[in-house]
Amino acid sequence: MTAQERSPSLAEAAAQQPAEHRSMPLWRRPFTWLIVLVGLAFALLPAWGDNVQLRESLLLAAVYITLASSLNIILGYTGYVNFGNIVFFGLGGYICVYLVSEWLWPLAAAALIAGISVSLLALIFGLGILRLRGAFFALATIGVNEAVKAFVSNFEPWAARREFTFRSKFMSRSAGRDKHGPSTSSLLR
Amino acid sequence: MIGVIASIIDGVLVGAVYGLAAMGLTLIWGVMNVINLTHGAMIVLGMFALYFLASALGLPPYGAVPGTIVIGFIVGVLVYWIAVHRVIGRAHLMSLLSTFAMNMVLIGLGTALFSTSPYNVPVPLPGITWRGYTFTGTHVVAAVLALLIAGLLYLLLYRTRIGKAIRAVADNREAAELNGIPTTQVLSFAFGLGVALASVSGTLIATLFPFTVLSGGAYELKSFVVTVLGGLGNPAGALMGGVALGLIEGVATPFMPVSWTPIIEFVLFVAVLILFPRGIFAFARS
Repeated sequence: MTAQERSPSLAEAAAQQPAEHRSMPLWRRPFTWLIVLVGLAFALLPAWGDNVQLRESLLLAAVYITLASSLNIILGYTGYVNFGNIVFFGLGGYICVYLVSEWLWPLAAAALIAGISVSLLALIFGLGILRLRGAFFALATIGVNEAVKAFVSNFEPWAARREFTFRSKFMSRSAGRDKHGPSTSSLLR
Repeated sequence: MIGVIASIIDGVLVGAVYGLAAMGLTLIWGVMNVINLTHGAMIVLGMFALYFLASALGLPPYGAVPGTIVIGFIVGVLVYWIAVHRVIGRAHLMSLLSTFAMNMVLIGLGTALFSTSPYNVPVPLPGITWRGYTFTGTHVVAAVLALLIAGLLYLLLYRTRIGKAIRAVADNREAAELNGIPTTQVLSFAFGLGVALASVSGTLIATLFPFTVLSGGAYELKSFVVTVLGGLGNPAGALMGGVALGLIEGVATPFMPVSWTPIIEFVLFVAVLILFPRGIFAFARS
């Protein structure tokens, strides 16, 4: 069975789009305006009133949009079936929160460093497993996924205290609101 | 030292059951180029089939084994027609996504019906004592049954007409069809067979350890490791891969916390995939 021969990859399908669609100026494409509209909604809706729940939901939705875009790049454009994508999502979160809560870095710098270091890690993984194709690549990413999961739950600095709390100056406003669990100061030595 | 050897032997006994589970996965891959992500759910199916056959019908645990094979086969053929038939021969993403979705449906159904609380099938069986170390009786019986079923699979594949047809379809579906083999029926039979193997290995695992609806995932991953060790699509290699995995677990257990063994397993898994994509027992094929 020659599965690969019969199925054009998604990238090929994209290349087959009508030529006039690609040359159309940006402002005449309906999708551009849809994106602008959604972006405006994300920017403006939280400003209306002090609806915390709406703000949090929008934040979560934005996270999911980013996550889906990252999956779209690897799965949609390159055609690799990647089950390990979420590894980098989780590791980025861990590194960022670790830097903020333990080393008291500002959030923006921590997020940047977390992103860069996780990208480097992905580069190293990629050099190894991107040589595999099709189902073999998919299996290898399952392996990476499980290995990292097992590593994180055994790695002392992260696993010993599963619940991190922000205690930087940056986040002090929300830290005081924490209703459940021990207070910030008691949780961190 | 005796403790280490005993741990290795015990690991190999359990590894034979992992090998049986992986044979189901590798059979389906070898015949139709589909990675069956419902594998974990099918292992759980076997566990619950045993639980209900043993507790509701009052069958002895090992008397229920043929029943779980039949149930697994029927469910496998159903899953083939629902989720697999339409995606055979298409991009890997299609079959991965459709079996993944089926897995979610089945796990969700199981969670709704049985909740995620642990179940246990008590098997009254004396252990075998050797130099002051006792091997659990269920481990020995499970390993023997796993080898027996693997032998039966071998007989089916190499000594019967349907087995010949399965091997022909795996080799070249078009040529098999031209020779008058109803390839679609053969594919559904092979899928049912693969699922039956997953189900019966789940039954054997359920006699060893307590289980929940969600425990399929861990065994599915072990099956992937075993399959890759033995070479995708190579049932004999899968059994050896299972024994090898059991050996690794047996060697590692006395020396490090159990929670670290998955890291070794999966690093090995990725390394084998990159270095020996045809499996470390590739010679067994020729």
